Amino acid sequence: MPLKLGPAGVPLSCKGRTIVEGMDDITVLGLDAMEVQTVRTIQPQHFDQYWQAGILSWNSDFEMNMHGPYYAELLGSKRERNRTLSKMETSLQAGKIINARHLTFHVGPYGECQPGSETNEQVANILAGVVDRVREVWGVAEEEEDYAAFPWVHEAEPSLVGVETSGRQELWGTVEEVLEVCNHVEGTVPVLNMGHIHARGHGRLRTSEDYAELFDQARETFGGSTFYCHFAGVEHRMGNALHYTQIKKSDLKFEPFAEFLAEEGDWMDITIISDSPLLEHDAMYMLQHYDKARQRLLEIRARDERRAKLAAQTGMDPEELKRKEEEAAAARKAQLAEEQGKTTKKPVKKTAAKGS
Amino acid sequence: MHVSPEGSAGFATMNQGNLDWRVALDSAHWLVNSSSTVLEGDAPRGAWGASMAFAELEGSRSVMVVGVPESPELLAEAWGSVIERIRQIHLLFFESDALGAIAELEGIEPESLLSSVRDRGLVPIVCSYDSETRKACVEHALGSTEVLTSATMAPESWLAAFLCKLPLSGPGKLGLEKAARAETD
Repeated sequence: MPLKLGPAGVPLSCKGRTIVEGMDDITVLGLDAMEVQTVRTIQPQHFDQYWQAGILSWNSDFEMNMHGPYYAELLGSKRERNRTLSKMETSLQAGKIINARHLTFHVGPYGECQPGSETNEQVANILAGVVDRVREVWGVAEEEEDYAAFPWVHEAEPSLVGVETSGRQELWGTVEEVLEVCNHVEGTVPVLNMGHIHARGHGRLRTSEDYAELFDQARETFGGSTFYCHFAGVEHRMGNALHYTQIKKSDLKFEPFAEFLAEEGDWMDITIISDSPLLEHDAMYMLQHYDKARQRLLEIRARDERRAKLAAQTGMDPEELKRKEEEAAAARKAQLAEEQGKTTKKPVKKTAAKGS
Repeated sequence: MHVSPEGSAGFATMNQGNLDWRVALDSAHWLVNSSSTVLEGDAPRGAWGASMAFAELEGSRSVMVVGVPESPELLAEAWGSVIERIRQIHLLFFESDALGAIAELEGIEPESLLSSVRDRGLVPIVCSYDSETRKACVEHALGSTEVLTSATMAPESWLAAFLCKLPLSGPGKLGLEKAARAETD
């Protein structure tokens, strides 16, 4: 399963602050993705480093992505929508330069709209326009010579437009809404922000089965196998995200997600971005847990294979062999505990004697 | 800890690697930073970011003071750096002259800036204090609080008093109001 992991922004531990320096640090950490935060208007001086980052990502397996404007009001008044679209235009121009594989956008508050298919259709129409604009911006034949040094502009697929789930009740972006819109607009991809989904669902992501249910829902509704996720700890109340926290401090744990990915994620092409306050630290934490989950799974599979082989050789039923092995393991455990009990009893006596 | 003489260039060229943030934080409840520090040079910018990462690890809460820098044209850069770190900030304080300028940068009405930043950035507390009107505005998880302080205070004095009172003023909206009044005992 292709899995890419990385932080949302230049790593906190990076001494430099440019994107290219950040990419170097991320690669050294064994991670392979990054989401550039263009939450505000892009300054012209940023474009130089964007080109450099684009070249670096084109020549390596490093996946660059971009996050759109911080404030989005696509369902607001005409003025608010146009303001958001103009910020999105800057992001998608920058996305082309940086060779972004995903451009993540929020939709913003429902405003005067009511949740439902009519509002979803409105969002779908706006995002269809954004997808068209991305395709217009990428690979203009007349500009091929101008972009000779930046081959991805003509050779790579344009960025996918990511539609992010929201973490508050008053914001458009439940899982169902996002999947419905992505299903109707080609060129979009759902951005499953696990912290937001967990918060909005009153803490719904607790076990690997919960993740399986979420991705089954995504597979059935959206149909694709490419996913882009955000993961961070979150404090939440009454179905609203209150604050991002490091993963260890949250009731949203990564272990069940890692377990799900290792056991059932073979069909997925997934990128996970850490947007925790401890950006790359938590991205590393996720990578470690994913590796552990895979290791555990490989051990289980190897044991099952060995058992089946042994059962065939001895003419036993594999289930019976499993039961016998479990009994033997339990007996070994009991014996070990007994031995440990004997050795630890002595010092206890000594301390008691000293105390008296 | 690095201590540079006032107005010296030493601050910009300090060796940020010499700072032991674990020792410096020493279980402090609050870590207070200013948005203008990022404009002082690479080393202060690095130290500024590192302090917040260590605060997160050590359990201290980060406070960010957003003001208009000496060169107002650099406000966009300073605010952009704050936004990059918004997930690490627990309390965001806007000096009153920065409110209008940031609202203009973001293209939103100054009146709704505090609540918008809180909602979009998921910052637990966003506040400001206007010395002229003695009005403190606090946006928090339980809604909005506006109180008048009994005495005129400098913004940094109000913030200091608010931070000191906040852990002691009790839970809920009433506790926040009490802390925002920033009355000395």
